[in-house]
Amino acid sequence: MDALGLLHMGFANALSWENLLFATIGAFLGTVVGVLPGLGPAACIAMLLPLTGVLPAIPAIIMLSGIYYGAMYGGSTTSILLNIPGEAASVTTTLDGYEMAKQGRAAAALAISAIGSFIAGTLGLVGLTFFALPLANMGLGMGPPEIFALVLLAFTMIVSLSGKSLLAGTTSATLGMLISVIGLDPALGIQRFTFGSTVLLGGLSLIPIVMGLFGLKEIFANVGKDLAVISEVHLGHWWKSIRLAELRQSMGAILRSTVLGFFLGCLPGCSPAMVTFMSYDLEKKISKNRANFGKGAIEGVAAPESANNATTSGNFVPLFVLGIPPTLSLAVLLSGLMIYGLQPGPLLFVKQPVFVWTVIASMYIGNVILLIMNLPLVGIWARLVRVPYQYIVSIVLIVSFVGAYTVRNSFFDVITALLFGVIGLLLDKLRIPSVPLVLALILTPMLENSLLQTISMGGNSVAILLGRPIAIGIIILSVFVTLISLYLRSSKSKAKVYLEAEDVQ
Amino acid sequence: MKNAIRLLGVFLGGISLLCFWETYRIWNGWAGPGSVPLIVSILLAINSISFLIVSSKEATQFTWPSNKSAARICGIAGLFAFYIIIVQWLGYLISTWFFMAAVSRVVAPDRFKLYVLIIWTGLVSLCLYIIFIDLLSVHLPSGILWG
Repeated sequence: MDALGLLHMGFANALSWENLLFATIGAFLGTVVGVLPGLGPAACIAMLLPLTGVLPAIPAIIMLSGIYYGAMYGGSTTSILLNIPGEAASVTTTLDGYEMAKQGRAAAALAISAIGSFIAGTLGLVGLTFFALPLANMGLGMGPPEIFALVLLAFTMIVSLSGKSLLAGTTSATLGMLISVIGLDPALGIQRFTFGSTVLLGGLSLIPIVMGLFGLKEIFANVGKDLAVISEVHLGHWWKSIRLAELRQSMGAILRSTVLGFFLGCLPGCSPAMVTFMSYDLEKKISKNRANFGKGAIEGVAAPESANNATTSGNFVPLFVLGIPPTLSLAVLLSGLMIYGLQPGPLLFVKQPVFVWTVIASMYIGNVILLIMNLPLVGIWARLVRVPYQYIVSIVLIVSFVGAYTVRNSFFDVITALLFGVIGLLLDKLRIPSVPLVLALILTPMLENSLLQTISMGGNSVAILLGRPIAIGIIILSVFVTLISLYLRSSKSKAKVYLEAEDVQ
Repeated sequence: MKNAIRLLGVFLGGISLLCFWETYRIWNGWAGPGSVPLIVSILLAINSISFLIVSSKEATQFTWPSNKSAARICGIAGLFAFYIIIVQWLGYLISTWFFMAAVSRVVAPDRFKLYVLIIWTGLVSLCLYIIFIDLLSVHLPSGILWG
């Protein structure tokens, strides 16, 4: 069956009342975590993942994916209205979005953000529909050496996710590698770093670690601050606020950012935060209205908002096709797929076509739900920001506790979450990013398995890689991606916004 | 900051030595269980030395939280640790009620009157209990003294 036929089958499943309900819940929760500063989609997915055990795989993953792309819509609301990015990918939106709000044009900024997000998200999904299947078919011939090269490529994303200091990023990733080798080794079952403890035999679970580093840490960090009182923002009607000429003016920026966002999103290491910066920079260079950038240019809102939604669609390509998570949230989602016995990679399209195409079809539906939620209901989201933090803290703590406990019905996992909450706070104070730690934690077992298999295939040598053109090609691509990331890092003035955005994560 | 970075360098160096020792203990060739731990040990050693070099050159901004903030952070983390202990004795419902009331008191001491706090946290605890048990069929910890 071709991609359109498979997508048709996916829509038939995705339009069942159960899947529609969970797509709506996911989109709603995603918008909420996008709006609320201090709780990102990764922490939300990690908290809810153990609680979705009651659901079958398809509605559970539909809901968790909805949280991921829904957060991209929600994140723009606080960026535009309050100059507070709800999540890292919305930092660039504050530059012109908040300026527009100050000029009394908040409704227009929110409207172009929602329209751009919808167009880019949907076009990105069209790209995912038509690119995923041929890439998966190509990937069917890959063996352990190619997978090893792919995991190396995924490791290069650590360079781009290291925030301001590469040393801090590599340290974080090394600690993640260390944590991942605790327990029994995959080949011979020998105990490593357990020091005789039986609770460490099974290793440390990913979910409590993510909850600690991104959920509890945020709580600890924010209760230490005196949060500012948020002022009232006047919102007009969005349909009256945006002019047709402005919509036409933004269309070029939306389409260019969609193409840029989708293709960069397909590369491991390109997070939405990084791509929003690049799309903003591109528009600033080529727009006729470039003089107004930073002063409330509507393209300055349309470009990053379109780019981050196209990137989220593109990000599903490496996840589904190669089994490589390009962002933290998708890394957590990957562990969710594994809990359900689904191994992402080229074989997923062959063995689980109903699952893959239902989830992809649900994303099209999710984009429509999000457009409806974010245009007429934007006033409600704006009011949500004014909910006192005190109400949220205790609920998030309880959900974290139950989520961590439910992983293995063990208090050890709750203690792990608490411990990593404190470690996350210390890392934050030392300006060491936590994202590379989690990515290394997920990628290291994949790296180890493929490395051991490659060495075995090559008769105790990795020289076998030299005779595998695809593996060599991927390794060359890894070097290329690393060099691009290092170049971006070296041009400090340009990368400032992006690096600060990564620090927000 | 210099001291904190230096301490981090020393800490990473210590873990690196521990990793080298563990790698030596389990080493069984490149295709064995010690290959990735060896890579980790080497990377930790490089990071440790790099931090020690950086600490002698750079002075980066580093601020510990104020006493008031630190007290709140310690209060919340301590309450969460205490909650992990009492939930094993009192079960989910009672300990969650107590925990939520205590957290709200620490985060915003003057925001709620005591009776409002008790009613509000009681209701939220009960709602969450119903959601977890009936809607999500989650197994919650039952206490020794109270189920």
